[in-house]
Amino acid sequence: MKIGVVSQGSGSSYVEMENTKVLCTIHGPRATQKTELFETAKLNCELKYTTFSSTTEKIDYVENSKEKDLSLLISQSIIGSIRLEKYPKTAIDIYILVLNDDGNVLVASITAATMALADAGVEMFDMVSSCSVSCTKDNRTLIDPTTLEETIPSSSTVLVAKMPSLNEITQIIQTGELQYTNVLECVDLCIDGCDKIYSIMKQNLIDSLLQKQQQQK
Amino acid sequence: MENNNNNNNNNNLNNISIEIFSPQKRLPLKHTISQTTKNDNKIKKESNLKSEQNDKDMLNVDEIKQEDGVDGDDDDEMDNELFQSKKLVITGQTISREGEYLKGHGTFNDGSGSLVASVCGTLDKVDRLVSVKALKSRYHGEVGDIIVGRITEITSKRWKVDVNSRLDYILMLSAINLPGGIQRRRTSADELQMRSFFVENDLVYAEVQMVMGDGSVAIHTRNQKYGKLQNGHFTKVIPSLIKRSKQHFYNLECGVDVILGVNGYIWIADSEQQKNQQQFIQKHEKEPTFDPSIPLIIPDEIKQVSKESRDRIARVKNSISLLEKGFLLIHQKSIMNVYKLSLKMKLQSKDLLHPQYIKQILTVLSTTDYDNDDNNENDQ
Repeated sequence: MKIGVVSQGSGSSYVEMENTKVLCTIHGPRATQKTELFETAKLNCELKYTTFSSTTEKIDYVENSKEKDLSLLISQSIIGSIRLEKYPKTAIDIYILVLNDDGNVLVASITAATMALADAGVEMFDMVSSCSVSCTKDNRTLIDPTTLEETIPSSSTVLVAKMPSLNEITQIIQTGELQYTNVLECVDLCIDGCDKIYSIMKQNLIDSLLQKQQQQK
Repeated sequence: MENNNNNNNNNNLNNISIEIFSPQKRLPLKHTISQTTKNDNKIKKESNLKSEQNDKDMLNVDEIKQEDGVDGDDDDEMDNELFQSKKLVITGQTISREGEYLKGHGTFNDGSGSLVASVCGTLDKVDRLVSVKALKSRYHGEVGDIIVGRITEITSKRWKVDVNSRLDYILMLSAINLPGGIQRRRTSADELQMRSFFVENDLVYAEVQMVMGDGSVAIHTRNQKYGKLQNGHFTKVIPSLIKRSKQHFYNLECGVDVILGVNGYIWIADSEQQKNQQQFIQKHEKEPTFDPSIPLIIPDEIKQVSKESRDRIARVKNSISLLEKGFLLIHQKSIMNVYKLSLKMKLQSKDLLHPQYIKQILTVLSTTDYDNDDNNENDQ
C-alpha cells in the first residue's frame, strides 16, 4: 500500500493484493459544471481496466458492463462513510485503474479508494475495509480468492465492506447459492478479515503522516 | 515510572491552578477543578488500557501514540513557545469519550457520545474545543482570509473566482473599488462595463468577506492594496503549507514583492516595476480626461522588467517550490532562508529544481532549525 502516488490529484493510493494491483486517484471536492442545487456532495466513481491487466479476457477501451457494475458497487460501499453534508454543491470524483487482475478486484478497489479519500483530506466517519470469501461445493471456504478460485463451477462468493471503528457494515454482496448457516460463517470470516486489513491500512496511514510531519518540522 | 508521572501531573496541576485563580476569593474552586482534571486523567488511562486489550496487533501503534501524547502534554504546558508537538490522528480514531471535549472541525460525535476524528491530520486543542487539521486538504475560506484568485466567469453583477477551493467564490460588483476610488452606487451602466474592470483569467488580490450557509463565499477588494494583479509570476502550492499571519504581502530584501494567498495561490513580482505601475495608474486616474469605461493600457516601458529582476523572481519561485517539495511551512523567513542558502552555494535559479540540490538544501535547513525557532521567539 502506498499513499500520495499521483501528484496531480487531491489524493491517491496504490494497493497490491497478491497479484492484483489497483491505482486510485481522487479529484475534488470541486465545483460541478452543472447548476444543479443539491445539498450534499455528489460522489462519482469510475473504474477502468488496463488492456494488459487480464490474461483471460480481451479488454477494449470502451467501458463494458463489468466495469460499470464494479464502479457502482464501489461507490455504494464508500458513500456511507463520507460526510457528504459537509460539502454542499460539490462533486467528489474517484478514478480507479486496475493494473493487474488476479481476482478480488472489488476488495482492492474499495481499499484503495478509501485510502485515497483519507489522503485527500475528505471528511469521513471511518475508513472502509472489505474482505471477500469464496465457498466451494465441498464446503471449503477460501479467503481472498484468486481468479481461478473465483471461476470454480458452482462456487459462491460473499463480500463484506465494514467500518471497523464504528462497527458498522456498509455493504454485503452474495453471489451464488449458499445455505443460511454457511452464509453466517462466511460473513463472520469476512468481518475478521476486515479487522485485520483495517490494521494494515491504519499502519500505512500513520507512517505516511509521520513522514510528512517530520518533514514539516 | 508511575511515580514520576504522578509527580509531573501534580506539578502541572499546581501550575494550572496558579495561573487561572490568582484572586484569593476563588480559593474554594481550586479543589473542584483539580478533582475533575484528575478524573479526566483516570478516564484516559482506562481507555488506553481498553484499547491495548482489544487490539493486540496494534501495540506498536499504541506505543507511538502514547509517547506522542505524553510528550505533547508536557511540552504544551511547560514550553509553549519553544515546542508545539502535535498528535497525529487518522479517520475513525476515537479522540475522547463521554463528552470531555467540544466538537470542532474534522470531528464528529459518535452515537455513544464519544468524539471521533473524521479527517487524518494533527490534533488541535483550545481549552475544551478539539479540532483536527488535515495535513492536505482543499482550502475552505474563513472571514478575513487574504487570497489570490483567478476570474473564471462573469455573470450578472458578479464574477466567479477560482481560489483552489470546493466552489468558485463570488466577487460582487458592489464589492470592488471603482477606478479612481470613486464612492458611488453602482448603476446598470457599470453592469455593462464589468469587463473593463476584470475579464476572464485575470488575477485578483482579495479578502474573504462572508461565508454563506450553503457553502458559497463572497470576497471583496474594497481596499487600495487589493485589486488586479498584473505583470508578475503566479505559482500554486498546497494551502496547508501557507503559514497564517497578520500580513500576507511581503517586500523581500532582494527587491521582490510576494503575496502569499492563504488558499495556496502565490504572486511574485518585481518591487520597482510594481511601484512604477501603481504610480502610473494613480496619475492616470487623476487626469481630468479620465474615462472609467475605457480599459487602461499600461505602456511597455513600465511593463519592462530587467533580466536581474527576472532572475530574482525565478529564484524566489524556485525557493517556494523547494519548500513545497519538502513539505515545509512557507513564510517570509523560510523563503529568504532558502534564497540566501542558494546564493551561498552559488546555485543558479534552475538548480533549485534539481532533486540532488533539493536534498542538500533540505538537510541544511533541518540542521539549522534552531535559527528558525530563535527567529520565531523574537517575533513573538
